[in-house]
Amino acid sequence: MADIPGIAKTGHNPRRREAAAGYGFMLPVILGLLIWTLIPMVISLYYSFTRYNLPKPAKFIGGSNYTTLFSDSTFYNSLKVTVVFAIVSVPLGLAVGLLIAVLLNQRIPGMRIFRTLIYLPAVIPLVASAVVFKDMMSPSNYGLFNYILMKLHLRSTPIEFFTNPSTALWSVIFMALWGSGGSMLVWLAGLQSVPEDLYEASRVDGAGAIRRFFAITLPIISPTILFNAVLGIIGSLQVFIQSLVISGSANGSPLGSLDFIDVFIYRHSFGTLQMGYGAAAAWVLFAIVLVVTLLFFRLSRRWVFYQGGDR
Amino acid sequence: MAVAETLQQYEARRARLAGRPGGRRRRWTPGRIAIVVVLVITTCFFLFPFFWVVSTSLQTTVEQQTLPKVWWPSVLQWHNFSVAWAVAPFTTYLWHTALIVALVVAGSVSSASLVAFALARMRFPGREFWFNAILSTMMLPGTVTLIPLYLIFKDLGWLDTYLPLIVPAFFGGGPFNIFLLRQFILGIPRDMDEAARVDGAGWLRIYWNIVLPTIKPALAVTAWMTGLATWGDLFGPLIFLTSSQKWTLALSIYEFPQMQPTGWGSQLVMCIALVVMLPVVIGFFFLQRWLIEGVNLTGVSR
Repeated sequence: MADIPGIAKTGHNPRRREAAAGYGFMLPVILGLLIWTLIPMVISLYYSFTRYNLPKPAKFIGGSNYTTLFSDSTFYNSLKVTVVFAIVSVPLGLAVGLLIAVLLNQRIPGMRIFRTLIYLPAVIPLVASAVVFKDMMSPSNYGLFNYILMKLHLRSTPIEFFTNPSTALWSVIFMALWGSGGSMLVWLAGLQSVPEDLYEASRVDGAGAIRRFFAITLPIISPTILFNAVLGIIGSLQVFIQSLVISGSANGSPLGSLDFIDVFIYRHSFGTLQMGYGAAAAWVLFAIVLVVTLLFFRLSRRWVFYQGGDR
Repeated sequence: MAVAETLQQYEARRARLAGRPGGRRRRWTPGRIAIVVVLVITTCFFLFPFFWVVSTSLQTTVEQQTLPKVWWPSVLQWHNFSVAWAVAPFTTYLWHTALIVALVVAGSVSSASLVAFALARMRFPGREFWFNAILSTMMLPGTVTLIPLYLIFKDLGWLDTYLPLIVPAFFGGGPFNIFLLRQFILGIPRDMDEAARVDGAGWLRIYWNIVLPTIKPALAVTAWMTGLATWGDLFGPLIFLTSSQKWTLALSIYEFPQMQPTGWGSQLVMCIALVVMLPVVIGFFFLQRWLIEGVNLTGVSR
């Protein structure tokens, strides 16, 4: 389209002009990548090799922040808390989302209303939902959940959902399920994108509903689900808000059971002003995210089905 | 991507099914009744916290500490809101948050649409490289760049101002927005902008007069998602806003327990939570059709 006769201006190569215009449109993001991403990344990597306890200047110390990190039991705890949260809550959220999506995928009246109302909690800001769940799951007899559990004689004493170190993380995982509507929508879109004739064909061949799901539906929607799972894991490795609101501070209480990596980084960088140590922890997190993402995409080549010419 | 044709297939199937003579559409088999019952119960579970935040925010402290539980206050305690409002200047926080949200949305949507337009429509060397570079920043945890940015903002004298929260939005508007808008622009037939080019329209004219009006729903979805993330952000305000008169609503919720007057239960913080949730719920019902379509088209929910 660039070389329509009579349009090209004299003396300029239209293709080159298009390229120049393209870079003009790209200018904001190119500047942004440089100023807000690339340069800070380089500086941050450098800081991770320094002792930089504000207000003292940064001093190069080689890799000792990293060796300290890997002998710091609180850092291992943060890693454990974060990884457990990610590997439990992401599949669980996808499973609950799928369950609801399958129910909604029937032709039933009012399907749109159900879909909208179940999706609604997924858009509620975490600061607000954490406050609400902290109240509903309060540890006393007056807490709503405990009241119901005791009323139904499922418990004789109240559960300290968020205040007992052995239940706090699981309670946060439970709380995250309130937002399952997001993955429900993704599954539902996927389920409805499967061509009906494939189902008809398999029905003729006598395949049951479960067989159809695993043999037809899942392969077709696997790229979408994979992409969402990866984004979900990247997001859940960076849990922050829930921990702060539930603990009431950035110490991961009770007893570090909610001390996610981002909370650890925040506490060291902005609590005790150890910028170098915080930067090193952030780079460890980045390394984990990279490994997880690459691993996922590598593994996915075996079982993810990409429709021909789709990407 | 095959998403557009997917939607068409879906619509076509619906039309086919609706027109099927004597179709099974209205027959209430026990199985379908069971599904509806399960769905009604599930929906009630998902909606219950909304009921709870309203109920709690209007209760007295005594009602909160009564067994059996009070499900709905006998007298609605509207003055809880004025008590909460006496604790801190929440109206001011509300305006701060609204201002930040408005500017971040304006910056993100305008710059992301420019970039998405270039990526979808224009040919220039390195286009794939830049697209991949933008997408790969989705993997970068915010904490990696946070410390240098904090120190840079400190040197610029931007700490305790809204600039660190607002200015970066004008530089690309985030990988997700760019990705989403690019998908939408790729779905627009090229005939219109080629016709405009024959008439001598420049790229900026095509972007402004043809593409932007066509992708209004997508712009609304990006604006909504960006606004939502900004509205509920705690990390940025916590780090960059130090003096309490500059806080945002989300930050004030986190800080509230330290300021709470004694003798009160959770009703006051619930009042603030309700104020954070209400605009989101209202906006959601206005935009939900487009939001759901956005998920259908991109296959991603955020």
